[in-house]
Amino acid sequence: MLKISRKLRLAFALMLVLSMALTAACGGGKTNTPDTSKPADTKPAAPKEKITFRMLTPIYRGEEGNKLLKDLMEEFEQKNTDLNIEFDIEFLPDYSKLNEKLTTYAAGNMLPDLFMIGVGWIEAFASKNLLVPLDGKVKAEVLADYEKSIIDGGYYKGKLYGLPLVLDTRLIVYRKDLLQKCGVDPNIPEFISKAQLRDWAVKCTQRDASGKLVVAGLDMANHKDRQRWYQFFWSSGAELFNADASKAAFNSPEAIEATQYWVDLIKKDKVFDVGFATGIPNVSLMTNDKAVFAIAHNMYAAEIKKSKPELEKQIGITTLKDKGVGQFYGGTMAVLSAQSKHQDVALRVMQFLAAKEQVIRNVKVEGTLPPLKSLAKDPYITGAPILVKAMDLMKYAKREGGPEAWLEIRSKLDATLDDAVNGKKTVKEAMDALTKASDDLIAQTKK
Amino acid sequence: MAVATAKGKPRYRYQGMERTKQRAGLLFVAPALLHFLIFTSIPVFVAVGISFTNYSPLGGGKFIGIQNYIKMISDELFWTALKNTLVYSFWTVPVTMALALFLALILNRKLRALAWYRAAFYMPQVTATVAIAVVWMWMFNNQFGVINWVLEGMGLKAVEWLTSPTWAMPAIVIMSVWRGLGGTMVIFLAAQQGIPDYLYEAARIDGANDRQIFWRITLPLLAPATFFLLVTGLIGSFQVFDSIYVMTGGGPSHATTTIAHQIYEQAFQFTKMGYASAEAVVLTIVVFIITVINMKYVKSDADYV
Repeated sequence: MLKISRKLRLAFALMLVLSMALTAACGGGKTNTPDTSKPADTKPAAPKEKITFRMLTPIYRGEEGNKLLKDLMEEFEQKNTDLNIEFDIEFLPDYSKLNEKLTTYAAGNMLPDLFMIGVGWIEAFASKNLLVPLDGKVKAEVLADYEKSIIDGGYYKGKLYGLPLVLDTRLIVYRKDLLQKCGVDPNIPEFISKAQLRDWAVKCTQRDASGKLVVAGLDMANHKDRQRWYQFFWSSGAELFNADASKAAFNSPEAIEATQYWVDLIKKDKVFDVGFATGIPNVSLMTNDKAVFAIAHNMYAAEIKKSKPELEKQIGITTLKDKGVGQFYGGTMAVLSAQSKHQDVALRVMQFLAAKEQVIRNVKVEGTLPPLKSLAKDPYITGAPILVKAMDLMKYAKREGGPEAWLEIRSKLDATLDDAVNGKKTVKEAMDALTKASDDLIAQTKK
Repeated sequence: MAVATAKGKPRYRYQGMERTKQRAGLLFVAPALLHFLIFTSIPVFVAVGISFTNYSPLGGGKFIGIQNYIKMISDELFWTALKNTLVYSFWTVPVTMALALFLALILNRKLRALAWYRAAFYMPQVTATVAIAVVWMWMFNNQFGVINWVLEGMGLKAVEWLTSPTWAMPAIVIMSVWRGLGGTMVIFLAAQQGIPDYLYEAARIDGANDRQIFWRITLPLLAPATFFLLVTGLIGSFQVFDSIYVMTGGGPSHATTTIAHQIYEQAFQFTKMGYASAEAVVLTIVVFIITVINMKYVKSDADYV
């Protein structure tokens, strides 16, 4: 008996030692091997301190986008020979996990040196002192090249924290050939009312004998996509918040009217069914002749060029205008982390990425819009009518965000649109509840 | 030195061996115990502590007493999540157990390719839930899903599975039942094989038919396994998260949000760790109460003799 227990003890002790040895063997840095390529009699230059520069981005997507950013960073290194820098870039496929990532990093005091966030996110991060102000670090002529309503999104309490790298918008596009087929004059004016849009969309909606949707009068893509809903909202004269973003205004009569219109398009007018899609990746309903009007992302220009370039001349663009015009612009801003030990380097990288030459290369790859007005004449823009219009409408640009609690409020806004369309609440009940919840959240941030 | 006693084995040597065994036992459980302490116990206590604060990972946080718990009482979304969790558990656990028992009875016979059948039913258990959820998400797709294709082929109307507040939760339940069948079935199988054959022989001699054998012998003697599956099933169902996160994100209109999903949202999307911790504490208490009720009212002892 004693023999067996000693063996067991020995075996256990050996396992412990092995596991400790394995743990110690893990990790470890690179070893510095001496550079033997230089001749022995050359006096070596003073070694530059190597910096590991961390970056997190939800743009520069896909293989092409990833490669572009890596190439850009190589070019940055070549232009900044005073730096010995190793880039550690974390690519996210989209925005869906960005907030969680950044929150987790912030909690661990490990925010990347430079990271990218959405328009409307600045307040949430700047209010927690997680960002470095850029005042005095960006030339006035650079700031002047941004549309005021866009660059305003980079400010918090009078200080600039972010520079836009790319923008995106949603446009009301239509197929002239399909409009003619349903008996509507394809020469749609530059601005139309919501009533006109509804009438034409109803006229062009087709269903089969069983009521199944065959052609959508208006492709709404996602009934709870607030970024598509904004044009209806702002064109009705509604606003998200009051002037200083201290109170929500979701339950104003204009806001309720706009949202009721949105809900009715699906529930009463039946111009779109929730979930109606082509089922083909990156091919939208309009390209597949399954929608006559659409609330399209500006990337639709790239989709058309790639999949059906012959359709380009059939695409028309219009904008809603009732009590006003409100064209939604979202985008991505580069910001500097207050937790970074390399803030000077981060600033240089940011200025490099935000410069015209780099911005235009990025937007070409992704199909997004440049935030700089001076790039409106670039052949990439002028070669696509959708992009020309998108840049032209920037004068009506409005953005989301405002209060520090925006990131939570926007989730509730999506859920509110969901509730309203699903009939869980009436539009008024839903918007009243949203307003109250938003006011509570805003009040909490003031404490 | 061993001292002989009137009762047989020398007491000193017996106590020495006991101590040695105890030490060896403690030594072996020490790593697991340490792991449990560091990664489970301590975080649980810390979470309870955080539940009395308004801590956010982005910075800030102070003691606010029971404010989080008071807020929970008037939080409509919390009660919706709790209701959804109960509905999910109420349907998933018994249906899974019933179907798994049925499968176990069938697969406890001599069948050709029996091992393949058992493996096939067990496969979902060893497959990542996220992968399963993504596939089922497409199966439930309104337009292109195979389930609606089958329904329409049978002359029935297509169902708006994941986009309808009415049907989204049943869709999640169907997927969860399918996934949980294999593991539950294996336990029932093992328990069945532990029932002595002579009981069945005796029953047959007494003229019992299959139905009587099932209700009077098999089912009562499966009570320990049933109890185990019920308790673990309920505990697991109350923590459902990944399938909901992938398939519906808690929608549509919060029709599928559960307590675990709400905890995740509050903690990682809205950075309200304090409130999320309070919800986690409440979930723990609810699960604990249900477990106690199970242990008190569900008899688990089965006497073979």
